[in-house]
Amino acid sequence: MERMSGGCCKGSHYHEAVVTRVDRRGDVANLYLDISLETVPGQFVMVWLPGLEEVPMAPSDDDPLRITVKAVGKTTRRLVGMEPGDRLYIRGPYGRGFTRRSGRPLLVGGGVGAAPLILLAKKLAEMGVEGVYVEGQPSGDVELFIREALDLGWEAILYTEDGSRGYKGLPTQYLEENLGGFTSIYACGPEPMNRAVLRLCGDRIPCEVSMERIVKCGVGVCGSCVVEGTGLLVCLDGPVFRADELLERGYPGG
Amino acid sequence: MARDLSTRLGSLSLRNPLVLASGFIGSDESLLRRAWEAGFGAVTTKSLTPKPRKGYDPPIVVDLGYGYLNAVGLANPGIEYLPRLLSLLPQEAVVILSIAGATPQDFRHCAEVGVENNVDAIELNLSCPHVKGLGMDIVEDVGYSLDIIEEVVSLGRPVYVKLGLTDTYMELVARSLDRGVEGFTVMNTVKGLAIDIESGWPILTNVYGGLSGPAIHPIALRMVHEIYGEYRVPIIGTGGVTGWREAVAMLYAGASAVGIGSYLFNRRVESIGDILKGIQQHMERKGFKDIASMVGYSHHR
Repeated sequence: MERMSGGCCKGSHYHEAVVTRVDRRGDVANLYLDISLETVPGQFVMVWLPGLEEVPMAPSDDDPLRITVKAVGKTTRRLVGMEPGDRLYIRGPYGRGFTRRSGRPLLVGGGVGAAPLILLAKKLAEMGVEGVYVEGQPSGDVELFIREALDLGWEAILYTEDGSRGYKGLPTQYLEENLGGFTSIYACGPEPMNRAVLRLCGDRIPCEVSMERIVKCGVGVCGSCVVEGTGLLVCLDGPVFRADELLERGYPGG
Repeated sequence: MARDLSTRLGSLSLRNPLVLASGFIGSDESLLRRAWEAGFGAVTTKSLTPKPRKGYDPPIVVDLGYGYLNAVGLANPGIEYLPRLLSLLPQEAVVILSIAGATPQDFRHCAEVGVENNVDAIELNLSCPHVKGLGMDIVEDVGYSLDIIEEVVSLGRPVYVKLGLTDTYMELVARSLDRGVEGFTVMNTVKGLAIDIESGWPILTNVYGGLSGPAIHPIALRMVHEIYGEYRVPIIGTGGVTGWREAVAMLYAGASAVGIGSYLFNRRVESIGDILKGIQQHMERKGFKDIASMVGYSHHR
């Protein structure tokens, strides 16, 4: 298996990756690739489909590399529809990932935002850390990584908005009710979920949140991925931010 | 003892010679404020056009290792966004408004909005290499460029013309000085191509893009040297300044200020502090008392 090596300043060539397995759940797909990647959970790669676009993706596994895609535009629709043998082109990793801390962590993922968190759980488990993985999805048919988290020996809890599986509601409910039982919080999800996490955690507990924006250049110059009002760039300063740095710079949620 | 880094760029007083080049984090108010707070002597906005432009789909940038190729497609929020773009900057911030367009009327309109919003200078982006009708095809036509220049100079603000690598740039320099421009931004990116050999595709969605970074530094340095040698005019030397050494070389070649662009690829904007520190230490080591005594230094050797 080809190993991609990191480092973005020596020129970044694309690595050709072949899809080996596709695991589709509703409008979401896990694409297993034939390369591996050294990455910090939360960092992202740029995935390019020539003739379409290049999109940022935080891997949900590193060895072999796996990306988790939700169909929202033409490029992601094509990715979700991929079959084994299809090719895509990858550069990276980029950005700042999660800080791994020992203690008892709570990981809160919403939608495909769960992707970098399951990789984080895997890395934390390798350090001997045991935590709780909470995943929120619109419905039970797009449950993504509960099984994998359980296999790590972690507690794993599913919330669905329609109540079709797991608890009915949003994953932040778990955070609200159990915040006191943890030493650190990691979150990645849609904007309202991230805001709720920041509001609940504030500066009371070490908390890191991965933010999503439209990343175009991926190297901190085009400004497309600015977190409005804060002067922070998702691709260069993030995508993972400490709660306190977001709140200090005026991100709403505090 | 720390040296004074303040300098004059034509009619502008700068706290130091570093200028945020157009196109880099200059289309959002919180980013522009962050750039100013990081310590730039002046900040240049992203080139604004009469109407907002979405720009090209990614890939828009290629990291070549020895430089960068970009085709962003003049993505910008439009000139009407200017008041908001400037809203978080302190009063003392020195702002250069970069404008682009297709006709002299486009440029005049954008420049008028700039004057209303009290920008310190106006930079004419006549040389964007990757948008048809809004760039290189203008600067290659000296007569048409002069029409644009005349429209904007008549508004009474300092005007800087951003030059591209053309066969006629010395002619354009001479004739635009006659029309009253204050100085030049030297240089824009150079049109190029990158191909991905795995897929066989040109990497940029737009196929062609503008080359910047270390690869073009010697070319930019030569153009600055040539223009300063002939005319002794204010120049913002831009092109592959990726450290304090290149910044010093730009000053020596004749630039009064130094544009910083590709240095910011993969770097937080706060890291320009390293360039400022490097310039300062060089001044101490070489005994320069101010920036002015470094400008054009190589012409006296």
